[in-house]
Amino acid sequence: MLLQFRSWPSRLGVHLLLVLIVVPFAAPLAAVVAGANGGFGIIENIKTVAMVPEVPAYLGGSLLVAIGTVLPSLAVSLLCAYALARLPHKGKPLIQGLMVAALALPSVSIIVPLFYVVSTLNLANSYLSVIVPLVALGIPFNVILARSFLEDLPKELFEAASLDGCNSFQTLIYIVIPVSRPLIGVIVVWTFIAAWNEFLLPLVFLLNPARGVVTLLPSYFQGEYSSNVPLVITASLFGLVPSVIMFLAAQRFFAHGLSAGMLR
Amino acid sequence: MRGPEDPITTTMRRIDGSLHRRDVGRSRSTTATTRSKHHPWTLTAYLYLTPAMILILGVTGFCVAFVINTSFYRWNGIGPGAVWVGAHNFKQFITDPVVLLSTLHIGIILLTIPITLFIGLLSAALLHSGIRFSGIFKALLFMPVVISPALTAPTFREIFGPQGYLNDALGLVGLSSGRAWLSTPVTAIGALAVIVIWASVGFAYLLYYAQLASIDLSILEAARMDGASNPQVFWYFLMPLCRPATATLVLLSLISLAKFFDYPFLLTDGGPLHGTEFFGTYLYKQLTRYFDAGYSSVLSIAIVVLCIALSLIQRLANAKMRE
Repeated sequence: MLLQFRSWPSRLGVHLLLVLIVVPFAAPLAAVVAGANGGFGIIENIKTVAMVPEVPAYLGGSLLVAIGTVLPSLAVSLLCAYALARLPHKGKPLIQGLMVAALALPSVSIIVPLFYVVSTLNLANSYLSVIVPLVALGIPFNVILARSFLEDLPKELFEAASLDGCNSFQTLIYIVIPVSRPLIGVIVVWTFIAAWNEFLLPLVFLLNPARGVVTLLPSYFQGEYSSNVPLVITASLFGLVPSVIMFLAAQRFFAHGLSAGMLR
Repeated sequence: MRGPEDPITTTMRRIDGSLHRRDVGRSRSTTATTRSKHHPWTLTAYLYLTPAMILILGVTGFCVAFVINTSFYRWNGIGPGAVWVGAHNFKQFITDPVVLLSTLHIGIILLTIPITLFIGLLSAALLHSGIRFSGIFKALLFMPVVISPALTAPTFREIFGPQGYLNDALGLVGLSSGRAWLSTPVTAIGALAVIVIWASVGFAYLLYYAQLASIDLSILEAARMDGASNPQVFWYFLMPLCRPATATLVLLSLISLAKFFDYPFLLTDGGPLHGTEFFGTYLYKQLTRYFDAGYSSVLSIAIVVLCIALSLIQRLANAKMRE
């Protein structure tokens, strides 16, 4: 125990203190449910929102963007981190520096070029136009996470693989990936949630209301049903619930793997 | 030249080298002589790096070059007709009062970092102390990190509205104000600061929790034998021992707050009268409302420079602290 609470009043006190800390964090989540419960009640609101054809379409769009981001991002980041962590070569510090610099590059600061590319290349309203920047912006974080994990793997593992005649790619496929399941889990969950939650890129790229993602649902409902706040909040619930479920399902290994990678 | 190697490494190198060299199409005889100079994996390593480099340099590199170039033009951001204006956009940046306001606002938001870190460390330390129901506490603390600002914004607008939940709660303790919290600059910035803390404590708690797990308990026991109380243990042991996590968290918070965009855009749109303007929202406004791509580019550069400057300051401060 880091801090010790032996007597029962102090145990009660520390639980109360934690409740005091956590309640403000839970309150907005409770407010989401309370807000969605306005008007004709939450059940009726959910029914009304689900009937709007944009809702399943946007949910599908988000799923497409998230999966379309996770797969290439995972493959590219793993390859890159593997090369940085395991294979010796000279440009390492330069590439690592580039990763940290790219991590500091926010998506707001590149909307001028994105805006231009959209309007000239007719890329607007294609989900690909959201996926490609998302993959590119997500790689640095994944690489930093993966590199520290791969560097911690025991050397003997790789020597054994070489003795068995694996080349570097075979080592990656048959040795590194199977033992890196926790790492891959963290990257998949983190990238999925980041893609699911992205707001700015879809806002700039997906201009046609027929194409959208869940983060655009509240503003779509605001446009269509401006005075009906409970309906807007209910619509946001449709985007919140999947990411919360995903987090709760992955919580155990996700929390551990993420912190292990960031503390190196 | 390398020193003598053990047989396993040599065998490994030979096996790998030969497998790989066949791919590159070199003959065995030439590579056998160069083996000692060039590691056989070097080329493969670059091959593995290529997709990531193409994406990073292709997308982000292109965008950065584009932004720098655009900052010297007057241009609407879409069609042809860009006019070279030299440093005009930068001059506008220096004299623009909204830039000063945005800097002030981001400064206020940065002040939330110590609060966030303190709440994160305190809850991590408490959750390491044999607490019941810790699973629920952990999940609730981290939940805000995984949900999108775009999806919580409608609720926050309700919470801080004139007939919102905050005023309801204040009414319960006899402080009913009917105040529209997001409509005056001071309270709106305060609301944004509270939201930032709400959204980022989870991450701080997570890293601190992991860092605390690696602390050697015998040190703490020795301190307790000498009569250290819980607050003393927290202040003199846990806080200093968590310095690595603090350094990481400060860096990540600085980077993520310098680009603060979603919440002010969604909740106040920088208003009223630029009272909650941030570089991100101002940039977006300049581009999509006034079609001033040149000035937006200068603001983009400002955000990136701010990110880099803040992380350099953090590094220097961290190095100083270690001395």
